[in-house]
Amino acid sequence: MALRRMAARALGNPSGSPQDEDPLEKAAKFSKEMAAETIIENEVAKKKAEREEAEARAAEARARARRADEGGGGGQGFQIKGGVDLGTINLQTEREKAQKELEELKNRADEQAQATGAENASLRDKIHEQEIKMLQLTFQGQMEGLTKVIERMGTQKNFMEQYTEAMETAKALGMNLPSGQGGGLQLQIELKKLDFEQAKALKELSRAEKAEERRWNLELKRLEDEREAKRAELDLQRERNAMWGNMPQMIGAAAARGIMEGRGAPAAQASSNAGKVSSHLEAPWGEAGEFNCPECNEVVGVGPTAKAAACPKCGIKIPIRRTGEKPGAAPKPEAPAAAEGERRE
Amino acid sequence: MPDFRNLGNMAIAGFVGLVGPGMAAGFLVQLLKEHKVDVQVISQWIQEGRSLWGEMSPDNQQDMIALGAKLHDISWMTPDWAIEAVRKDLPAIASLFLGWPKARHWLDRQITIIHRELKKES
Repeated sequence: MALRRMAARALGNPSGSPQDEDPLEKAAKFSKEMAAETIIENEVAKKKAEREEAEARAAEARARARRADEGGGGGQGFQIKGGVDLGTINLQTEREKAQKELEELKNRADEQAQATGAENASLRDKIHEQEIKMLQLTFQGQMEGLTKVIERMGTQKNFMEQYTEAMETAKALGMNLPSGQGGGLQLQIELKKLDFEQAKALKELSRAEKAEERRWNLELKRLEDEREAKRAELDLQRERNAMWGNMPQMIGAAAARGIMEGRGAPAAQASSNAGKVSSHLEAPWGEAGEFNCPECNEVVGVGPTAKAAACPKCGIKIPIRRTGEKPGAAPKPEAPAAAEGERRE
Repeated sequence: MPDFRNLGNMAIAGFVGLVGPGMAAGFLVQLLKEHKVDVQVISQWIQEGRSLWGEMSPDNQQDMIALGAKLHDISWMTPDWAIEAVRKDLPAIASLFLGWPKARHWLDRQITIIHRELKKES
C-alpha cells in the first residue's frame, strides 16, 4: 500500500489542471504506471511468500530441536512404557544430529534472510528507478503540454477561428447549448460573424468620417490662409498707394526739416546749458584731444591751444587751464589768414 | 498752353534747392569720415593753416562743383551750417569749432574759400 501511495503521489499532476493534458497521453501514462505498479507488487508478494516460508521452516526446526532437547534431558515429558523395542537409541548421537540440523537450518535461514535483504535492497533500487522514470515521464508530459500551450498562444488566430475552435471543443466535451436558445450552433456562429462584420464596417465608416472631417478642416484652413494673404496684399497695396499719394508732402517736410537744421540750428539747439560754465580741466600746452562732457557725457574735442571747450549737445562751456610752457615762443610758418586768427585769439 | 517742361525744370530746381543743404551736409560728413578726420587731424590742419578745399581729392572737388551748379544758391553754406552738419555724427569736431576761436576762424576761411571755388566754376 505504501508503494501504491508513493506511486500515486509520484503520478500526481503538479499543474493541477488535468484538462490541459491530452487524453491519449494520459491513458498511455496511466497504463505504464499500472504495469510498473503490478510488477512491483508481484515481486514484493513473491519475496514476502519466500520469506514467510523460510521463517516457517526455521520455526519448525527450532520446534524439533526443542523437542529433542526435552527428550534427552530426563525431565518430565514422555514416558514410554511397554514392551516395544525401539532398538538402540543413542541419545547423544540424536542430539548432536539435531543440533547439526538446527545449525544448518539456522545457517540456511540466515542465508535466506540475507538473500531476502539483498533482494529487498535491489527491489528498493528498482522502485527508486521506477519512481525516477515516472517523474521523468511526468515532467516530459508537462513540458509537452506547456509547449503546446505556448504554440497555441503563439499562433495568432482571429476571433472567429478562436470562437469556432472553442465551440468545437465544447461540443467534443459534450457541452451542448441549451435547447431554449434556438438556432443551433451554426446559427450562433453566423450571428457572431454578422456582428463582427457589422462592428468592422462601423469602425471603417467612423475612420472614413474622421478622414473626411480632417480634409474638410484642412481645406477651410487653406481658404482662410488665402483670404488672409489676399487681405495683407490689399493692405500693402493701399499703403503703397497712400505713400505715393503723400510723396509730395513727405518731400516738402523733409526739405523743410533740412532747411531748419541747416540754417538756424546752432542757436535753436543750444540747450538751457548754453552759457553755463562748468569746472575747469587741466591740460598741457599743445595737447589736443577728446573728453566726455561732465553734464551730458557727449564727446567734446579740445584744440592744442584752446582755453575753453563747448559741448555740442548741451552747450556747456568748460574752461581749460593750460599747464607747462606755452610753445608759442617759436612762431610756426603759417598762412597769413591763420596768423591773423591766432592774433585775434 | 502751359510750358510743362519749364514747370518741371522749375519744380526740380526748387526741390533740389530745398533738399540741397541736407545733401551737402551728408556729403561733408561722408568726406570727413572717409578721410578719417578726427580732432587731432583737424587740429593739425588748423595749426598749419591748411585749406580744406586743397585737402579734397579732385573727384570730391568735382562732386562739390556739380552740387553747387545744381543748387544755384549756396548762401546757406555757412560755418554754423557746417557745425550743425557734423554735430550729430562727429560731435568732437563740432565742439572744437564751438569752443576754440582759432578753429572757428579757420572754418570761416574754409567756407569762404569753398564759396569762391564754387562761384568760380559756375
